Order: sequence, then structure tokens, then C-alpha cells
Amino acid sequence: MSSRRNRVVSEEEINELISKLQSLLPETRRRGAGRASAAKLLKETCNYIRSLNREVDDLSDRLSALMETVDTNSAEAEIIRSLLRS
Amino acid sequence: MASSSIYSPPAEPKSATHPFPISLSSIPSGSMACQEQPLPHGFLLDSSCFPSYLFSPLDDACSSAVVNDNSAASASFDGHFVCSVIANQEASTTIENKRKSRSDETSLPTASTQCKNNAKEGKSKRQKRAAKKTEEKKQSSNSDVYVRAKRGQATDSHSLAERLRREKISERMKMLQGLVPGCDKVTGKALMLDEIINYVQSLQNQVEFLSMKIASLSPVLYDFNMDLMDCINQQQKLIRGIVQQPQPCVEQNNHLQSQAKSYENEAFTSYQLMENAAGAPSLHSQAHTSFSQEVTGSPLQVDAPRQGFLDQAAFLNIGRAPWPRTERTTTPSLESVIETLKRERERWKAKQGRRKEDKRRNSIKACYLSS
Repeated sequence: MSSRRNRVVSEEEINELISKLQSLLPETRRRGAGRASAAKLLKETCNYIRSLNREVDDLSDRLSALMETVDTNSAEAEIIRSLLRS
Repeated sequence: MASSSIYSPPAEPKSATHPFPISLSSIPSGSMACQEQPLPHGFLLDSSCFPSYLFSPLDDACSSAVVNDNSAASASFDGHFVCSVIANQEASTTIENKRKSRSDETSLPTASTQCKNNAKEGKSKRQKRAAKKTEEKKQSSNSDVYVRAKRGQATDSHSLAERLRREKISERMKMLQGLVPGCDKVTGKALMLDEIINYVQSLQNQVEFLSMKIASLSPVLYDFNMDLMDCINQQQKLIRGIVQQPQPCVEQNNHLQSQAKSYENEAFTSYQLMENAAGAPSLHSQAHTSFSQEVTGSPLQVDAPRQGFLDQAAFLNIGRAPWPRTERTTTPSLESVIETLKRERERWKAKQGRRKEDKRRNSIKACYLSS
């Protein structure tokens, strides 16, 4: 419960943040869906973050595997490696 | 039996068969009813009403709850409380269950706060521990007796539902707090939500960036009979060669050129599709050969393998990326790939910078609001 005296976080701000979060989530259903309940949104966010984490791990693994097999002498590989380094 | 030795009620004539009347209102996690002065509306259903620490068999409704929270209760209580079951057992049990499911974390039974009124010992202790609950209690209308705010809320279905909803939300927020790094120090819904939003955005950027990198690396690695880049470069050379030669028909030339270019585009997009798949070397080389073959052919011939190429691409699109991918129709020369990578990197850095800026802005806003 936000204390009235110290930091007044208005309800609108929180609603705005929630709708912003909703816009980030991949809505698989109809696009113009009214605002779902906050609890459901938070749960969706949890799942989405977990799947994103898995995705990043998977991609990183693939990338590192690819990097190993790249022909180290090719000029193109060198260019790309320099890009990846920075 | 009421242990008269331990508990001394204010002014209650103790009787063996009639311990202290207690009405079990909505009991929190512990089904301990705080005993007040003898009240008219607290009746013992069960004559065998025992103090918690003695823990004699109580009624079914509250025995399990008492068992669960006995450890917690005995820690905080000094065994002052006598638990009994009241007539409206059914209501209390349901409320009890709701309480238990909701306030699992709060080990301190709210009965403590009620008992502060009559319990002589540990009053201050309980008050301190149950300060939060005390607030809730004060909110309830009937505050004099064993009335707990829960009881008041219990009858008020709206506030109960509201409370449920809030508890659910806070539980989910805690879960998110565990997922999002750096959220521990943040308190308050707004700041945490902000942090969560930033994290999700950065994760999305990471995924996009990584997939871009992989896509750019793939052409270099697929080193079968012919590198696709080489193939495309060859194509470009051929096109340039064709353009330089005297052409009978300009349209035909343009047609061929556009065909080749669209071929390249498709190759690139199909490359990304292929990259999605596990990687099919044979099909890849087949695409290569079909590629190189048709460049010199007439436009009519280009169409056929192109169709076959598209079919292959569609076949290979086993579609593993859940997020929407933007169509990349740039010419797949190495320079263009490098350009795209650079752009992505700039965008990524800009977003990170913006994020820091947002953080700074939010903190300034918070300071301003607090002043």
C-alpha cells in the first residue's frame, strides 16, 4: 500500500504501465483485445520472459556453435567477427 | 480442558465443562480464536475446548488448521488461547480455507491481534508482530470483540474478492521479481513494472540481434559445392555482363535482371527460412545448382526452378521462430548484410541508451514526487 505521504504513485501510472506491458507481449488472440486483468497479464509476462530467456540461450548456443565452425581464414568471416566483437 | 494454571482469564469463573466462550470468527491461518470477555454470542459447540498447546482433539473444522499452525502459533502465543468452534462452522471453515490459501506467507495468526485485548502477556509483542493485521482489524466495523476484520470482510463479499485479487496480483509480482534480475531492490508496483518492461524489451532486442547475427553467419558457413555468396556474386557479374552486351530487346534484359534480383531476394529470405530449420545441406546445394543454372537461361526457364525453389523454401520453413519476423528484402550481398548488422547494432545501442535515460527520468520523477 503506497503511503500517501511519501510517494504517491497514481493508479493511472500503474494502469499505463500495465497497458504498455500488454503491448509488448505477443498477443496471439485478436489484436484489439480490451485490457485483460492484471493478474492474467502478469502471468503472461512470466511465461513470455521464460520463453524469451530460453530463446536467447538457444540462439547463443547456435551462434557459438556456428562461430566455431566458421572458416577462420576467410575474409568474410573476419569481417563478421570484427562486427561481433564490437 | 482449560488449563487454569497457565491461562488466567480476566474474570471468568472457570468451569470444567464450560471453558471460555469463544466465537470462532473467520480465523486466519491459525484457527485460534482469541478469547475476550465472555460474550453472549460465543458458544461452545464442543465441550472439549482446549488450549492450543494442549492440543486436544477439536472439531474437525479447526483441528486441521490448528495442527498446521500450531508450531507457528505456539511460538507467538503463549498458549493463552482457547480454540473452540462456533455454531457457524461452515462459514468459518470456508473463510478459513480462503485465509489459508491466501495468507500462506503470513505465519502469524491474526488471532494474536485480537487477543491483545484480553491477553495479559505478550501483548506488546503481538502488537508489534501483527501491526499490519491490526490495521486491518481496525478497519472492520465490529472491532470490540473477537471480531476480526476478516470477519467483517467475510460478510462483505466485495472486499473479500478484492482482497483475493490483490493477493493474486502481488503473488504474481513476486514471481516476476524472481525472474527479472535487479528487481529485488525495487519496491512498489510502478517501479517494478517499469523494470519488467525494460527487461522484456531488452530481451526482445537480444533475440532479434542474435538471430541477425546467425543469419549473417549462415551464408559463410554453408560451404558446399558453391558458396551462396559466391553464387550471387557470380550472378551479379553475369547480369552486368548481360547488360553490357548488346541486347536485342531492352525489356528482355530488364526482365532478366529483375528476375535475377528477385531470385536473389528469394534466396536470401529462403536462407533465413533454412536457417530456421536444422539445416538441409542437400536441398541447399540443390538450390545452388538451380540458381546457377537458370541465370543464363531465358526468362521462361527462370520461372520453373524459381517455383521449385519456393517450394523448397516453404518446405524448409519448419518455422521455429515464434516472434514475427520482418521481411528482409535487401539484396543479399555481403556488404548489405554488413550494413544491416551495423544498423541493428546502432539500434540496439540506442535502445540501451534510451533505457538508461528512461531510468534516469523515472528516478528524477520519483524524487520530484516525493518532495
